[in-house]
Amino acid sequence: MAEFAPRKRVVRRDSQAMSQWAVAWQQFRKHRLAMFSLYALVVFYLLALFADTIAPYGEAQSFRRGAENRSFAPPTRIYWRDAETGRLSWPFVYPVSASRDLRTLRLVYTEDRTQAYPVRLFVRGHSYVPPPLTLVPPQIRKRLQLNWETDRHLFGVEFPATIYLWGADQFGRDVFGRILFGARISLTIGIFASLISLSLGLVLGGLSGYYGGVLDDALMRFVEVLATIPSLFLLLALRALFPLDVNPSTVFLIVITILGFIRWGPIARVVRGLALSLREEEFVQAARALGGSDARILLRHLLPGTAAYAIVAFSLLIPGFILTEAGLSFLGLGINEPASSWGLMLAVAQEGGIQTFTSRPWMLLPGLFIFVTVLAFNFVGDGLRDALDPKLRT
Amino acid sequence: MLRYLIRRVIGVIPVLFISWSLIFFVLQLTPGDPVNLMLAGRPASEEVRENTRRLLGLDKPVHVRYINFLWKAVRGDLGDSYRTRQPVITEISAQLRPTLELAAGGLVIGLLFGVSLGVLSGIRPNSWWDTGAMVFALAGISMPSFWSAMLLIFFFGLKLGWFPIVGEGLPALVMPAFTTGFFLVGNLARLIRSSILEVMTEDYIRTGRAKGLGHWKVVFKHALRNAMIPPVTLLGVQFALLIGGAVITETVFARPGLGRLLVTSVLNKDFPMVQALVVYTTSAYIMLNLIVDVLYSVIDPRIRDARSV
Repeated sequence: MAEFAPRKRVVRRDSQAMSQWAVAWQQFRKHRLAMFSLYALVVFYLLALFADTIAPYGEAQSFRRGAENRSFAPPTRIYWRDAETGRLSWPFVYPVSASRDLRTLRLVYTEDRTQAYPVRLFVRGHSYVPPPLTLVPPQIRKRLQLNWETDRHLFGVEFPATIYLWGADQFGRDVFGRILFGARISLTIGIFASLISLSLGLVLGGLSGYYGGVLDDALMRFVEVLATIPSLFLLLALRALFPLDVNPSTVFLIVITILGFIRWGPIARVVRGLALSLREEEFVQAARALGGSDARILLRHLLPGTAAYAIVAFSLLIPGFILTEAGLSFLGLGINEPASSWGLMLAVAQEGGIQTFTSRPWMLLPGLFIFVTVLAFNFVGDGLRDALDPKLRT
Repeated sequence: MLRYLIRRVIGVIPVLFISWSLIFFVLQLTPGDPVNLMLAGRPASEEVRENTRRLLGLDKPVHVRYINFLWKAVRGDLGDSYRTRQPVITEISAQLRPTLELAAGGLVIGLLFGVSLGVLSGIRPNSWWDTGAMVFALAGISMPSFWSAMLLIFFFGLKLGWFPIVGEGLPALVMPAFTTGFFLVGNLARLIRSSILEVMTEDYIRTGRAKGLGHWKVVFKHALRNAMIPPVTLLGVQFALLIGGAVITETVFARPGLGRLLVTSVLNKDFPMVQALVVYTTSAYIMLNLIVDVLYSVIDPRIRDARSV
């Protein structure tokens, strides 16, 4: 008979012996949009990690001079059928040549159908440091003598043909590739900035709630005052303190730091509240009676009590930071050339004015990626909130 | 009531004082000599530099400059722009109007769409309406405003030609206002939805139903009124976001305004201007929150009493 018992029941009985995290995970998995978003984000991260390999060209590799000018070249048409026989063939492309339309002064691209160039897999091209070595900062790589490079790309075509899945930008750089490279910025900046905000919030809020007194008063007044400065204005004012034209990796650090320092206030307040109530719990009293040090009580008893909130706050901060970074780069105050960032690419679309819509709409694609990424992070955050802390539901 | 009012107004003074000080000291961290920024790379003798420094009061120690800054700020003088050499207040007051129009427009759009979507989904939870409204709300929160602005320009400005992209007057304000207010639509709709869901479980709703009131009467008279209180108190916070949003909107639509001024000032390292803009918006925000709080306590006396304990 036991075989025919409904399965659901068994799961429910198990849940009584499950840890808080296992229950939360089970809850999270029920949130279909959140799960789907999580998968989508994993795919995005993998694409960003393997960007060098997947993109046919290097991040800053441009085609802008003379005969090889590909400024704002449209997406390359990929043919699947043989021109003469009409039968299915290995995909191939035709090279394009640019000529200037004397009326509109724009470059017009025409296909030269005399010779077909097949799309090849694992072709040689621009050389790069392969993942996971790309994750190691260049200075450390140099010191450890880790300078392997490879020049294999997932796909590509032989020059003079070019392959742009999603068109080219103003310097004839591959938009598809630059979106993948830009994903590195957008997908990491949010996480690091959230980590900074969260750490500041946990430490300051925890100390404030646990010790109370003057420290608490001072910190909470400070948080209140900080909250009165409109955050984007504060952000721009802080940006003014740092030099504008420095190399992209320095800008990356600057942006992460200033983003991390503007949103910790509300977190500190909530953590303070949690610490205040946890402080009075019996297990904390017991720990103190047994002679536990403050540090031990804070780390072993108070910190775990804030974990659920911390995870939710962390995930819900990320989308805001991604949008803010994109905005900063869009305004020319964030990531700068030749590095790529979704906001920076949209600034080019903005400069193009009406032409962007009429002759190069692919320049708007990075916006879609920002939107989808932020949406996915929002869904995951909502799912985590529902799973971990139903009380926080707004 | 009067006592509460006086207490609140007095309570604002230290907040203003600390926020001004914070802004002053943060901007003191600037690396490099401001005189170099002013001269913008032009050659100048040491004498000229010395003079400029004295003229700007930069030869004095930090604490003297701090007192000077506070003393002048109280009287509304926040120094001269490095770029135009004019008092910052002239340019700021010239750019104030377009930004206020934009923020007001954004607020109207946000309230109009946010409230109606929130109510719609709140009174019919888990319906198609609800799903649709919440997807729209989430889009408002998740779309980068400069991107949605470009899409608006394309569809409503170019394809359909409904609204002018540039220009003055109300029609030209529609798209920028929508861009600025889109996130507010999302925020408000979500807040109001959950607020209504919560209110609908209250005893007075059941009482209303029990005494035979019609569905719509219960919804509009009892549920909505009470559900509006939490979102409305957050409007002060949203104002800061609206003004922040102006930075992006003004850039996309090439509108004049404080946001645009801030961006150009940051790009030009015009520190007095940056400082003044942050000081003014912060002060405006503090005052606005004061007004919202006072109004709120007029509407709901429980607040006033709770805080005066």
